[in-house]
Amino acid sequence: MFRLTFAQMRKSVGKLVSAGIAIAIGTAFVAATLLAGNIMTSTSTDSVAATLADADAHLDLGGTVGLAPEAITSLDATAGVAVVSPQVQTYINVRRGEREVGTLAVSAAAEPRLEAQKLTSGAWPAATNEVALPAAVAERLGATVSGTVDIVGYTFDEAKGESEETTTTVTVTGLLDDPSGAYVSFDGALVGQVDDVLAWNGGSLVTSALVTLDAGADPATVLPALADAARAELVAAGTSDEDAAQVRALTKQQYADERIAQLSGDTNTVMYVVLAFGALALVVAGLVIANTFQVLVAQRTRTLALLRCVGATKKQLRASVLLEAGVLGTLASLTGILVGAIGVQALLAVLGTRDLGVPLPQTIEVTPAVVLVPLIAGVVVTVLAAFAPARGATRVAPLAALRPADAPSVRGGSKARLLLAVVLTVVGGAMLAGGIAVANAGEEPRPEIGLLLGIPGGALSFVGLIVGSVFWIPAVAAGIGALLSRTGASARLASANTLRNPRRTAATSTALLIGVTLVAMMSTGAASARATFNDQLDSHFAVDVLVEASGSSDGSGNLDTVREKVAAVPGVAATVPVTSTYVDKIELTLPDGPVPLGSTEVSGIDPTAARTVLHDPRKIDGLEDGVLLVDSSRELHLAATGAVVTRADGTTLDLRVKVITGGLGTHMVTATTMKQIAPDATASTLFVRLDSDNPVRTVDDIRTQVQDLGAWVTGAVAERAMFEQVINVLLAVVVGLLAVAVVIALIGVTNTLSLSVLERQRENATLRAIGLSRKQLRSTLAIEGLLIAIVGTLLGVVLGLVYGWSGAATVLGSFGDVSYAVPWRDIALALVVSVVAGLLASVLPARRAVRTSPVEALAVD
Amino acid sequence: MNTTVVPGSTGTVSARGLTKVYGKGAGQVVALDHVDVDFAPGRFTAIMGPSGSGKSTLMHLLAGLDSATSGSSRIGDTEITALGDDALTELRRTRIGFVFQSFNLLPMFTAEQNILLPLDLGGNKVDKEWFATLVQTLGLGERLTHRPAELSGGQQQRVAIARALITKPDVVFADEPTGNLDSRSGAEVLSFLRRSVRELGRTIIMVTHDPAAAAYADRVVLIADGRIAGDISDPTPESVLAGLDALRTLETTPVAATPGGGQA
Repeated sequence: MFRLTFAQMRKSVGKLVSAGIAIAIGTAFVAATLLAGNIMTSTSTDSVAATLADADAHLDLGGTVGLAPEAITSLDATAGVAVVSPQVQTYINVRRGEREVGTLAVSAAAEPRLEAQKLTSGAWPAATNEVALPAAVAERLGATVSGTVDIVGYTFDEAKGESEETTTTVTVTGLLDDPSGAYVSFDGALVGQVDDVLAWNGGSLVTSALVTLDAGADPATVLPALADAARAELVAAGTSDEDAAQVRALTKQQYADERIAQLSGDTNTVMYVVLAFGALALVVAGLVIANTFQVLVAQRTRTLALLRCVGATKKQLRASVLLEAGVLGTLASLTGILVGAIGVQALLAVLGTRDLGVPLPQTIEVTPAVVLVPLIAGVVVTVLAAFAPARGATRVAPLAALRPADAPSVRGGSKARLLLAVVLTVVGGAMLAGGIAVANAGEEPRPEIGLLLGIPGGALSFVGLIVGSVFWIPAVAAGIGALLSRTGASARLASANTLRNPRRTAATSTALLIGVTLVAMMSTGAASARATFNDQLDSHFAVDVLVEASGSSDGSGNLDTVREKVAAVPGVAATVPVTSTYVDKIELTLPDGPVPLGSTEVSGIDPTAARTVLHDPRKIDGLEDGVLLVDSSRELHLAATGAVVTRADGTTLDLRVKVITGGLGTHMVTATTMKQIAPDATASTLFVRLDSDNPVRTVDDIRTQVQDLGAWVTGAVAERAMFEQVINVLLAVVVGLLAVAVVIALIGVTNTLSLSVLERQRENATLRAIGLSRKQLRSTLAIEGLLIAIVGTLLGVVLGLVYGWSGAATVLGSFGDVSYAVPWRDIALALVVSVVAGLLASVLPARRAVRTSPVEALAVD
Repeated sequence: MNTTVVPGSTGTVSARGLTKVYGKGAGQVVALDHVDVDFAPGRFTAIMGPSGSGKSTLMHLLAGLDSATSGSSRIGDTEITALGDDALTELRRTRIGFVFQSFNLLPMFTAEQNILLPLDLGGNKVDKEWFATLVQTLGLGERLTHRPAELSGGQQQRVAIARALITKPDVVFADEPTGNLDSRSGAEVLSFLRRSVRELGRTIIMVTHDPAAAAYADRVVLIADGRIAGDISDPTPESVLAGLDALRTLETTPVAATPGGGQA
């Protein structure tokens, strides 16, 4: 039987290879993910270990208040302990002139060999108010060795109950490099004396120390003794026994392992998410495999029947097919793992040539998991996918060998399948709808319950649609095919061919549908989220950039200068000055009598100009001369009809009142009215609208321009840009990962077409004999590929939109009105890709098809 | 009796020095060896011969399905051995019809769609009158909406004949058209082929190894070892059998008289 299986495999090697590629891509993906995970873990282990430098152990007083540095140092009296070097870290800002950089400050170790960083020039700080700066920080500040910088720290003032800024001027003694990546997230750390670092954050106690041991000392006995000594000191200083019990002395390895266990929680989450995409790729590959085997079995009907005639049992036939799948799965998975490993290694080689600040390993670390997980997953998926075709093989009657071979007739789906599909789709759909309803329930929206209901509901309905794809996808294909049929004989042939084997067409389209649905769902969800938040952001950040001139006496001249400079910055679209003043007394005229507003800020702006800078012009709806636009949500104010403003000189001014909710946060008047209220008030603020591609840089440019004038720049646009960037990056990553599934599915389209070509050799020859030209045959196949691809893509896009909107409605419903966006660009891209891919998929099969000589139509098998 | 027609007259299918060699060197097989033959328009001719005699190869070359090693074959004025693939395709679409042993209908199309397929491929209009004539002559009126799977073998072959005739081709090539049919359906199909020659004025060249089938033809061309080995006019099953017997003698005793009529 084995020999037979291998002989059959050799005969079908072409088909098996293309099916194998699908599996290989999936396993390569999984293997690469696992390898990358390993690298992330080992990189962070190295980084953690680097903070210990050449220390033998780490003393951790965490959970206690800590000990004074001197008390820690004196723990070296413990037998076997050479040095105990207190370790303190705090976040500080380093300032030099106008520039300020935030960084991490760490205490200098007792010995240079305990320093995690390397000195590149100068010396380690040896006295108080001396520091060594990371080279990167020094460069940004323009600081040099022997120069001075200011350390800005915050100390908590217990008497006042608030933090207070402290500034200390220190001398730079040396510059540092961080080759081992101990402080990679900060570009290195500033080093100062223990007492200084403690002083910068207002502390005096130390909870961590590096330990070196005497040569030959046994950590197993020395470290517990050290911990005991530290506990004794703590208890003597008034710490409870219970707290003191938390003191631990760990070897370097123990410490690193423990820290990694904490850190890698995050790494693992990322890895699991990526692995989920790998699993998806494998599922899609499984569909492609199932298809391939179905056709392999169908083509071998005669051979299988012959085997049955000469005495092969059903079991043997099934085993043969499954064995074939097993061999294919193993070979393809191993190939995939190899490709994945080579890919990651190549990436490492490329990254190694760049300075990322992280010491990356030179070579990948191939653990058993890296090989076994993708191998097992790949083989299991392949064998599972071959299960239904294997059962089909056993159904071949021995008699089939004696009949002339007909084209394999393929039935549609069974009633049980239809029932299952309908139940899954309906129940899932109902859950999805329920989730949306719960999340948008007027009084008490519960998005979390909505998600709990909606996610499984969406998944269930999608599974239902896929299970039932054999029923509805051919119908859709028929519809689109009927449209195409009008274009000519080739199209008519193609659409008729597509419908001949509904199950295969459905499976091929479904493979594509899964990937496209998920891509479309993600981008629809993201587009909707972006649109929804854009509305929110428009409202929240009405103005891109605010520039406030300092309140100097020659205020007006100052703002004009500022405005000139700001307007000249590239990327600035419009600037509008705003005048603000405090009015001591405003009385609102209400039906029940006047209500005083007290001392109130009133801002004046030119309404026409304002509309050029505001993202949401509704914020100044109704603003015109003689009107006070009151921004208030208080019911009391809503009925106000007029206002009496008392001017600085005691005279009053009557204004009409418009009340607006969610305006600019201050009461507004027009610039003209402002002149009437406070003739002397000068503009002190600029509203700035940007049209820049890189708003963050533009804001920086504005800041640089007006810094010397003492103006204050607030760029909401920067926050907004950052927010959008986060969505975009996340989306790009997710869509990129899903694209793997789409690529596999497209291989499936090629596969299906080449199998069709093989199956229809006689037919194609007949068509050639009765007058189908080579060109027509080629275009028939191209249209068939196109049809399969377009059906999968179109349906995927539609489903993706529905699921994306459902997700948006569930998640965003509680934020207010959800904007249901259509990611046109992404949809267009998906369609273009599928059209091109569908056409390309037909190229190779068509080459084979046109080689078919019309003479073959006359052949009798 | 000699039925040779002057080459060049409309619709005459003719071969001159037609040779086909398969393989090279030691494995070389001469399937056709300088064959000269003419087939008159409006006649039903059968090509007969033992397996491997070259009768199928002759048909392939005459129909432009395969390329000749040397020599020429013509349909009317067109020298098909000189045509490229596109021109051949066009020729097959408009001037040649095929009837296959395995029917070769497209399973996803109805009988009517199958019949009209050659017109469809060329984007040509249907001659409704001609279509009605064919459907009526072949008795397919009730079956037009059926798919091949719903038709009997005889019905499928009748659909195939209609498909071959729909373009009013100069010549129809039929390759063992009764090979997959029981004797009754076979007889029916052969009657239809003869009727389409007599009543519809078509030209049919049929390859067969069945003397009974060949007896339906106006003329039988015998072929052996890649050469024309005999020519029988107005054949009967008996005369065909006699001709074949003579061929067999020819095979065993290389030097023998030409059976039946003279060589074409």
